[in-house]
Amino acid sequence: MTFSLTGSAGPIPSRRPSDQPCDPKTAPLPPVQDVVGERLRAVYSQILRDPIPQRFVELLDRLDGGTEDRA
Amino acid sequence: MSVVIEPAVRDAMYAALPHLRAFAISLTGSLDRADDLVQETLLRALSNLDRFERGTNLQAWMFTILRNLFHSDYRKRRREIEDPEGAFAEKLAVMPEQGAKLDFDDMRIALTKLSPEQREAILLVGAEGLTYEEAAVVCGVVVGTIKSRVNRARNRLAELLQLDGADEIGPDRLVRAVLETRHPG
Repeated sequence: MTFSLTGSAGPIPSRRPSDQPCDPKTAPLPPVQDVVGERLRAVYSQILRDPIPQRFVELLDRLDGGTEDRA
Repeated sequence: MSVVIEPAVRDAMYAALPHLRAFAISLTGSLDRADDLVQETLLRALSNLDRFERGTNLQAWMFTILRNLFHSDYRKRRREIEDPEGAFAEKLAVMPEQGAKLDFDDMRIALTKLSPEQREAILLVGAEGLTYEEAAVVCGVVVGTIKSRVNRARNRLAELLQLDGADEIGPDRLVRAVLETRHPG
C-alpha cells in the first residue's frame, strides 16, 4: 500500500457540505476532519446497534393499553 | 402509569430509543448512567407530552429533554463523570470487531476529554446528523455557538486521536520530523 503525502486517504463521502473552513488555521485540515467524522460515525453506529434494554420497551408497551397502573 | 398516547407518538418514541440511548452513552461515557438518563427522559417526555407540538420532530424534542437532564445531573455530580477508563464498551451486547475495537476505545476516551458542551455539539451534528440549526435548538444556544463548538470539538478530537496525519499517513510523520529538525525552534 502506498501513501500520498498530499492527497487524502481515499474517497470520503462528504455528507456535510457545511464543513467549509472558516478559519485559516482549520483551512488545511478538511481531510483530517473527515477522518474524525468517519470514525465518530463508525463508533456511534456501533453503539446504535446495541439492543434496547427490555425495561424501556416494556415501559412503552405498557402505554399501549393504558389501563395498568404500575408506575 | 396510565398514560394513553397516540400510536404515532408511541412509534416515534420506539424509533427514538436507540438514538437517545446512543447519545446518552456517548455523552456520559457510562452505560448505567446512560440508561438512567434514558429512563428519566422517557418518563419526563410522557408526563409532558401535552407540551409536545404534534407534527414536529419528537426525537429532537426528546434529545432536548435528555440533554437538559444530563446538564442538571452533571452539575450535581461533576466529579463522577470523568471516567476515561470506564469500560462501557465491554458491556455492550454487540462488540466491535478487534480492529474496530481500538478505534472504538480511542474515540470513547477522546470524547470524555471534551467539555460537555463540545461533546454534545459534535455528537448531535457529527454523529446524529442534526443540522446546526436543530442542534442549536436542542442545546438552547445560537447557531454560531454550535458551529464553533463543533469545529473546536473536531479539532480537539483530531488532536487527541493524533489524526493530524501522524498515524494515518506514516511517511508524513517522518517528513514532518525532518522538517522540524531543519527548523529548530
